Amino acid sequence: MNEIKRIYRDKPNPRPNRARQLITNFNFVVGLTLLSVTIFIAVLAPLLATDDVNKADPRASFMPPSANHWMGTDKLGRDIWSRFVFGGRVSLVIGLSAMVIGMCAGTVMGIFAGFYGGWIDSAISWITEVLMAFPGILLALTIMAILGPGVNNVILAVGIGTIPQFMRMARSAVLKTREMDFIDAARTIGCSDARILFRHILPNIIQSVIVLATLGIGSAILEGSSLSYLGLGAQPLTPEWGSMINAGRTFLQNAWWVSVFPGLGVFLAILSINMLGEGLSQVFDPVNQ
Amino acid sequence: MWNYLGRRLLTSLSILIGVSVLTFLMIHVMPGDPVKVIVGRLTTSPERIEALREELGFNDPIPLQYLNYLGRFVRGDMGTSIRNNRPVFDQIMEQLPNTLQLALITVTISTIFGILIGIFSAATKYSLVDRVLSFISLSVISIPPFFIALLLILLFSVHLKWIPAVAKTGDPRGLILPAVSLALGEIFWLARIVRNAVIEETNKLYPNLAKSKGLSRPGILMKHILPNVLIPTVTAISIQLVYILAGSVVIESIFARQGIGGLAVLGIKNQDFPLIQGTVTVLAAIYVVVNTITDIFYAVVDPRVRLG
Amino acid sequence: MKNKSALVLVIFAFLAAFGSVSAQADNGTLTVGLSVEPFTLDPAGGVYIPEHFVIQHIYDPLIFSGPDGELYPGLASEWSANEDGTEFTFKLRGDVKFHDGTAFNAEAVKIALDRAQKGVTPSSAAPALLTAYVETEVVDDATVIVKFSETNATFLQDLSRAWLMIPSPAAIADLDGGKLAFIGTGPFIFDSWAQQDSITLKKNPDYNVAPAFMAHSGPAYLDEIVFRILPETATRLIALQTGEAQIVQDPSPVDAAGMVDDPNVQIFTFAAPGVPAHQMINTEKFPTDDLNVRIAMNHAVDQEAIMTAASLGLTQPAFSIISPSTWAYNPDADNMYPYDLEKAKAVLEEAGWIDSDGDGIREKDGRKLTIEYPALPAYEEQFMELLAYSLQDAGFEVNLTTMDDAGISAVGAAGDHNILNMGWISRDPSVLSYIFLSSNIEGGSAYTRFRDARLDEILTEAPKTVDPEERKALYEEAQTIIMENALVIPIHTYGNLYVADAAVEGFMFDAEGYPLLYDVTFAK
Repeated sequence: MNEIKRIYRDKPNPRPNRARQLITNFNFVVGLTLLSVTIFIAVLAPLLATDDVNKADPRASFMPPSANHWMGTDKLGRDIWSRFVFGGRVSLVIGLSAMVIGMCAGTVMGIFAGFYGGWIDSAISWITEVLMAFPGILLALTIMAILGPGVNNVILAVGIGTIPQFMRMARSAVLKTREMDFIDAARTIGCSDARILFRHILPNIIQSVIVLATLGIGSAILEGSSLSYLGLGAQPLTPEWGSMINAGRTFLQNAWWVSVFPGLGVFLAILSINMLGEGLSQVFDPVNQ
Repeated sequence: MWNYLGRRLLTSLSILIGVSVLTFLMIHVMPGDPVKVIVGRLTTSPERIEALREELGFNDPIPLQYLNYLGRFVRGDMGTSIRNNRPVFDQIMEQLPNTLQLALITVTISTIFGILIGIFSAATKYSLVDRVLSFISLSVISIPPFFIALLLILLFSVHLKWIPAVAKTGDPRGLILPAVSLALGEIFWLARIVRNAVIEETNKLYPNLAKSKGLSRPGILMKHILPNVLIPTVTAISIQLVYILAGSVVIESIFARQGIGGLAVLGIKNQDFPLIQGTVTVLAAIYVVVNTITDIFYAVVDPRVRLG
Repeated sequence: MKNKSALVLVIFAFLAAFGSVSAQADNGTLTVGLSVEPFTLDPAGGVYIPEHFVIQHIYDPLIFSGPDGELYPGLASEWSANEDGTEFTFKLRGDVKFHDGTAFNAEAVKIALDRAQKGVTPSSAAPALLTAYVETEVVDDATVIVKFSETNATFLQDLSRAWLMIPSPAAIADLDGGKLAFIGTGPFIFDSWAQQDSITLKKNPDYNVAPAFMAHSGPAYLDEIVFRILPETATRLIALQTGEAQIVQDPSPVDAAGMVDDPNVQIFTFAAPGVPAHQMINTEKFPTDDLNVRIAMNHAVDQEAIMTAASLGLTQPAFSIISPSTWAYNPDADNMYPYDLEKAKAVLEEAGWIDSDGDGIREKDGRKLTIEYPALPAYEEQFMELLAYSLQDAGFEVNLTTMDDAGISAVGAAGDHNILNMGWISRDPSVLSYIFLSSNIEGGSAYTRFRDARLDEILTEAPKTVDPEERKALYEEAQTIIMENALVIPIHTYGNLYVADAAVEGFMFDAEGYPLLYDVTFAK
């Protein structure tokens, strides 16, 4: 499920002369454009929507795409375009929030593990190893079995699943940084552990963490929509891409548009982030030099 | 070597214990009374609830409950499903072969095509063909597998009516759509890994030396590059195998296929805790075992790993 | 590139050749697409609806209940009850053999009922039917007396349910061990069960228990029934169209409605008796503790329109707590609150519910008119959104949250819901006790949390009343009390929907709407 984290090979080493390469890179530019459009749609959803997302009109059910309903209507006669733009909002919020949770928890755990070493390191590393033993969507499914359905629980479930990658990255970054001269210097002038951790170590790794988080949003969206697709995610009155696909799959034969448009939404959102990541790695990864 | 092996196995064992603690705790961290969760909406007298609590061992202290649970688990007794009274172990053993069959076919498809496309891309690197291929790969791995499955059903079963969406038991055609749904993304993911690995090796110095020794290009590929591409490729395939097993959770539900993934979803939908615990633990255990084997494989192939 | 497209063509040709191999069933095999897999085929272990259909083809009851609602001899040839309805004597047939060759006798009945009373798993449904069960006395090989500690007026009806059918005593040990030892006396013999895939039954050539309401007697016509587990609605229908199945359960109403005029298929619908699907309104929680609010909710809901949209008319709307095909149905309690949005608004205004801040939601004393609606998609997916919209139109705020069974029961037990879905298929209104007796508020399913001395009295007395006229009068009064207090919003009667190939003949529903395949043949 986590294509991004698997594709992404090495953390970039930003150098100033790469900016030009980036803005001429096909993947980066297209990815960035698609992502901007997705975010634009999600943010401006109230302006873009042509109808109330919950305005049902059973007499107008399963209308094919037309001038009135750009993406047709669903079983209850609701306008799919309006639900699509608001649904994107929910899907993006799930992806973003999950990454933020995973990023914060994982990075803090990683910093502690790397900085203190010893049994703290062993314990934290063990916990993440255990978490990683639940591959892909399985961990999220298990957590959902405990928490029950709902958007907030999806965010938490997907977020917990992303902890290990941040923890590992932060830990190894701290291990590299810990031995550096300026840390020793900070120690000798009497800085507290907390100060060293958050003033000296965190700023050094924050950049890589944010890049990793950005590239992980795609898989978080995918996982969130998979959970909604299985009926565990967004609530019925809340439009969300995964659950919209789910709701339409029964009618695929007669009304393909109910499922296919939200499916395209998920696809484009993930594609944009994958292309962005590809562009970055083409410019920064030594393999492509 | 033996030292490394010992350490590696010990780590795996400790992870397995962690997995069992997590799955065991599942029912206890749930909000609400576990017995009521099991009974669901049935009308039940308080006496019966109490009797069940005793029967299911919920009155024991939690650590003792865990030890009992672990003890039974180690002996292959995963409890009986609280919905159909069948031993969970039997159900898993019935369903696992189907999932493994699907996973193996998927891995075979994705390995063959993935490596071919990857080498082809690397050989034509930076050409138009390579660029188009890499765009296609990016697109395909961006489609959610469950959406691929829906589109394939729509195209091949509904419109073209070539392949039944659901085939009779034992009909090999029933494997085609699920395997393709799972394999598509994996093919292109593997192709990218192989492509990058081959380019990386090509960029290194020694192929130039080989060329200066007068070897042909295919000769270089076979003799020098492919062996070095082996490690990343095997890692990729082992990761894939596990992701496919996990991905089967969604795909098996869609295609109404027998399998452990479908069984896990069934358990979650029915709040059948022994069944959830059993299926989740088995899937996680497979992951740990595959990982351990892969690591040991590295250690054999590349002695430097043993030091790490 | 040329080679590649040639290869693709070859693959497609290969698939097409494969695909055109006709999937027609041979004459004696019927394939049925089930929407939900049974948990078990052990009668005493059965959990709910999905099993009934399959179980009743493997096992026989002591007494059958015909489509007309009358009782017919099954494994028992005669029966009688004592005056206060606590003891039931059965004369058993002596010429029936289980599929394993052992003879059916009184001991088998005792073992079956003793076991059903305990249930096999915590979720078994059988114990609820035998709450006051004392014992089964074996008088001789062909006579048993079943004893209860209090009057059980519905026992004879209940005996026809799958949960109380009789398995072979020789198979009990295997059943308790979780083995697939499903051995009965029924028209079909259990053959195999591939979980998540299919259940196969074969004809019982020695069958001789067919009830009189069937079109024939002796062995069934079909040689084999394969129940295919097809949880995806779309694939289930595709299976019918491609000939992989000849009968499928619960197609999507949209598809089924589109097939009404299709000469290649036939559609069977059944409106089940009993308590229709309805929302139980919590009378203890704000704001539904206000009778006016409950009445307004009833006026605001247009069952007719909702069910037309949700099921395209294939499922009947309901307007009372008992559906018309149920015994003791009271027409006076039906449709007390016809759909009238303006009236709903007026009732609310009058009771002081005004939308003062213009957000579309009414308030009273600073509190919003908010309804907590936990829903179980398995049963409510069709209508839950439309129901929420209806209430919103009248000025309610609706918090619709989907949950699983366990989540719903937790919310219901805590009384945190305002409305909660319920329903109960049954020929007899006795099930009203489960959901309205105030002693079932704690730990039971009385989710209206309504406490009324008279209603409690009726629901306690009626099951013990042997005289049918007296019982009927009691239940008619119960329906009036329930509807006058607007304790529920009726939604729809349970309708069973099956689509079958046009060649299928002899398909019939039993009294509760489960298909009987004993008479089924294929038209030549």
